[in-house]
Amino acid sequence: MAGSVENWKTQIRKGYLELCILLLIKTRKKVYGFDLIEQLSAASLEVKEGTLYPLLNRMAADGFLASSWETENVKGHPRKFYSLTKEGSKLLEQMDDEYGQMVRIYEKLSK
Amino acid sequence: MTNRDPRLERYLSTLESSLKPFPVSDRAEIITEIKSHVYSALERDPQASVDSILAALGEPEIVANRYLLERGMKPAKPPISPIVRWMVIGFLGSLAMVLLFAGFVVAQFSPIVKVDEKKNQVEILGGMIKIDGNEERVTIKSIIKDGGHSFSGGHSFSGSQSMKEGDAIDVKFSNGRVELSTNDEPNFEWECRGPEGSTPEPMISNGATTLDLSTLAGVRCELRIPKNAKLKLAGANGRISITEADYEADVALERGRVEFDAADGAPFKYDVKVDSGRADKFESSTLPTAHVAKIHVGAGRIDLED
Repeated sequence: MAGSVENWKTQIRKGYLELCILLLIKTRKKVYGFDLIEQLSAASLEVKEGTLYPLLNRMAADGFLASSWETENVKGHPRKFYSLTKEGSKLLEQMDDEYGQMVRIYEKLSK
Repeated sequence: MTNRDPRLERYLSTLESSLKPFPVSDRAEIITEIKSHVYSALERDPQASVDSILAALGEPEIVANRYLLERGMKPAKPPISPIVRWMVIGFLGSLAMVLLFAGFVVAQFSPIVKVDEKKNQVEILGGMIKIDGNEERVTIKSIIKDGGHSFSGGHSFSGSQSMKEGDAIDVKFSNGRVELSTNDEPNFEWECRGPEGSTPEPMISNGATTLDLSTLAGVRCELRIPKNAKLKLAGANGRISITEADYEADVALERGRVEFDAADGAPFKYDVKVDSGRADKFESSTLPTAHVAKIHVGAGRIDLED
């Protein structure tokens, strides 16, 4: 049943992806969508553009991300940079705790 | 280059219209961000095509639906891919044609079964097959049509009339098909199929035999004309085929086609005329023994058969 593992992967990745995005934005201070995709891809976490942008849109709407349009140089085009809000940092901490606990439980169980 | 890329513009326009539930400012922000993404991707790989970047993003309607879903809004109906759309159109088109054909068949052959107890008759498929209990006869009607009238196998009749040298034969029909051949016996013979109705009887007076088929629409006849007879054949619509003629012929057809073929060694003096249409070139014999073949077609053609 290849379908069932795909379904499970989609579910587990969704929450995990949000955690990784918040983590990346925290470490990079501010980052734009295309850059984020490349960073995640470099870390072997493939994410579709069509999935990432709506996700960023929702997280910004929920108040976890702040955004600003910036143009890096004269010739460049404007890019939408995301950074963590206070709520975003708090959310990341909570997620981090939860995930850490999940990993510990997993390690304990697999021993 | 990309500023006015038509594919990008089309993509963004579809995306924009699919994001209708969002406020205008949100929509504009999303569009600008997606546009920025395409520029960034092109910057990273100048060899990349706009098409491939857009393909990686996914169908604009699907991307729009993801935005809507993430924000807890009701997504629009998933877009129908062009292949599926054409398959649906093709399927519906075929279905319509099948239904049309089925409708035609039903109309043509309805009622499917009709029982007439009084007459002791059963008609199947709109009268195509007729079973007559009284006469213990089964009739199958041909559906081949000509000039709007069906040649019916339901009613056949034939006859023969002995003739003397130089007797006249006068045949009339309104529409149908008449095939003529030469009879070595001194008899005028006919074998016909026509619609249901009375069987025409020949009228004989002063050495002239008249066969009037003009009441029989779509009649189909084979006539055998004795040698050296004087034939007069007149029809309104249809086709007349004369093979191996060896008699005097006066043929008139208002609309249709006449084919004429003289018997081997039978000389003819032709008088061929088509008012509207065309006629093959007929070469008349100068022999005094030549038969006269007068063929007149109002609209249609006259063919010389070799």
